[in-house]
Amino acid sequence: MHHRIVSTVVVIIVAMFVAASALFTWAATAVSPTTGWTAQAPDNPHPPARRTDACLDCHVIEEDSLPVTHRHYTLQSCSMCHPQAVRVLVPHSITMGDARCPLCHGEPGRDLGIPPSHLRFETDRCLLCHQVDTRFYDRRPAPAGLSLAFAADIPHPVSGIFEDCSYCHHVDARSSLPENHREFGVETCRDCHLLGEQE
Amino acid sequence: MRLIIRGVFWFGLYLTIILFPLVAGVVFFGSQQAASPLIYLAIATGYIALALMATELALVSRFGGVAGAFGLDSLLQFHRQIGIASMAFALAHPILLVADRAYSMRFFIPSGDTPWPVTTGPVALLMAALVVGLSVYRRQLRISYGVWHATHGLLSIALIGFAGAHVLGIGRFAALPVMRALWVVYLLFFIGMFLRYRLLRPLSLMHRPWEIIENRVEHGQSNTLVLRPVGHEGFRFEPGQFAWIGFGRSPFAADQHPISFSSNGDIPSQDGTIAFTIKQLGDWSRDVVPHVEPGTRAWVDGPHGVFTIDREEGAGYCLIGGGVGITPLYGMLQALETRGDPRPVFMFHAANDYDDLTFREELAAMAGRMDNLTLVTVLLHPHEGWEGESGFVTADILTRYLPPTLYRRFQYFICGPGPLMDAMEKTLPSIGVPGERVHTERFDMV
Repeated sequence: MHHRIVSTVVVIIVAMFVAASALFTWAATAVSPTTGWTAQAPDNPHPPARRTDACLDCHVIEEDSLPVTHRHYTLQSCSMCHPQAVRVLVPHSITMGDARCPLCHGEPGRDLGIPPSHLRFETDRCLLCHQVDTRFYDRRPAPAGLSLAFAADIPHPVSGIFEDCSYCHHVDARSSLPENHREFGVETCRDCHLLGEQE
Repeated sequence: MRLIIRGVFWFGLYLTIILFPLVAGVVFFGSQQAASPLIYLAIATGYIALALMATELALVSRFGGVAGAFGLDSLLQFHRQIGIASMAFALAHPILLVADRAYSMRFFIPSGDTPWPVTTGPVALLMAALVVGLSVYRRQLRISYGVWHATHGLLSIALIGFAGAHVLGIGRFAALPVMRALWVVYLLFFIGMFLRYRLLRPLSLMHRPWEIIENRVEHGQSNTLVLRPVGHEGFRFEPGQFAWIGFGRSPFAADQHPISFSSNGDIPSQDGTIAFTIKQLGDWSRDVVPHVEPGTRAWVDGPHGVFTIDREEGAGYCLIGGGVGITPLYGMLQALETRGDPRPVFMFHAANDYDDLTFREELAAMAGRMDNLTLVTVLLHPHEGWEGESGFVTADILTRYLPPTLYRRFQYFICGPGPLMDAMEKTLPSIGVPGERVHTERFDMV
């Protein structure tokens, strides 16, 4: 066979493979946000208009308050995946008793304050509406325990290389950990982040 | 037409094998596979690189169907060029991963606490670089063909092993059961191919030994080895074909080389003898072949090749041979004479000088016996008093001897040094010969 024909065939095949790589990237990107991620994205835990309606006023990638895995999304559409919670479940133990909720969830202006729409309610009746869900907290550290409520499910396999969180979510200048997670040990990721739907 | 259909079939199968994992990856995509576009691109290039490398062995493992459709020399050329292309895809894989902000270079420099699925990636890349680098630069590095061939096989096996472990161990897309199953099937296919190539094929040769009965010195620093089958009848072959031959006590240990037959495949002599003519060009042909003694055990894997007049119909034949490239053409002429084929045959025999003209006496005698054979000898450095053609084989020389207009319906077979074949592949179409009537054979790949 004419050797230049072979070389031409090789060039065509390589071009086809490059095109196939691009097509795969496009197809995988296209299917990513609609298969599973919506279901796994945690509800937006904030009351409406607690401080602002714009998610990105607080969650900005430069300050690492967005996961790096979100940097490719059109971030104006956060609510497509993170719907507003209809009713916030209590994400921690209530060993301190219902009446002590105001110690943390006090008047507006405090970090964990009740929303303005709740000001008309008595502060010792919180648990009438907000049920405790024991799936959402760990009793450690005592007495309140650690909230698990809003930690995102792990959206990838947890075997093989993914078993060691630190290999992707490492703490250095290019950290993929949110700023408020920097003090956590990387070996504790799975204390809060549950496995995704396929586990 | 049948050959074209076979070619399209094998080509389609090849593309399917390479690209099927990517299609399966999209079809069975789950939330656990979600990543950034650059990582998807890195995954795609990595998959393609591994699939290309894993199928490289299939291209050169002497499968009759594939080689019959394309010719083994074309497959060797394809193997070589695709190997280099697969290296480019493999290199793109880590580059794209680093380009994505979530990864850094430290993942690609293994340390003591690096998980094995990560470590296997750079190791596989290093193996791939060695496989490709040693093949491309073998001559510059002065590595013998035998050493290269052995290391090429071993490094390729190691490369596929490490790369396969990397894919299955990392497991983003390989976490999908269907993908894991697919890759296991691919790896088993590769292992099967390797066992067929390195175990079953030599085993089949074990029962068909040959013996050297003559080692004859020819013009042009060449030797003709005459072999006879031992305990079997030998085989017939089409004029122009070749076989892999090696010497030694066992076909497993034999260092095999592709050599064209220089004997007549149409009517093998009563004892089934065959002959190969080998020029002293490389370490094996220079250091081993001239010293092979009669009685030496030989192993012959053949016949192979599609460079043969039996597969190409034409109004006549034009054979252009340079140096030891005359060997398969000499075999064709013997067959044409034996058959009493009345079609015109033009033999352009090129060489550096008169002493380099291998088979010059035999060809001259044949031209005397065959009325339809025109023998044209072209010397690059003619001696004083030379009355034949001189210089390179050119369009002017060709058209001076070939019959006007009818020559466009001939079949052209060219074998010789690369520059001669390159020149003829340009010259012949320039004088109106259709490209599909020009046939070349190249084995000088590494």
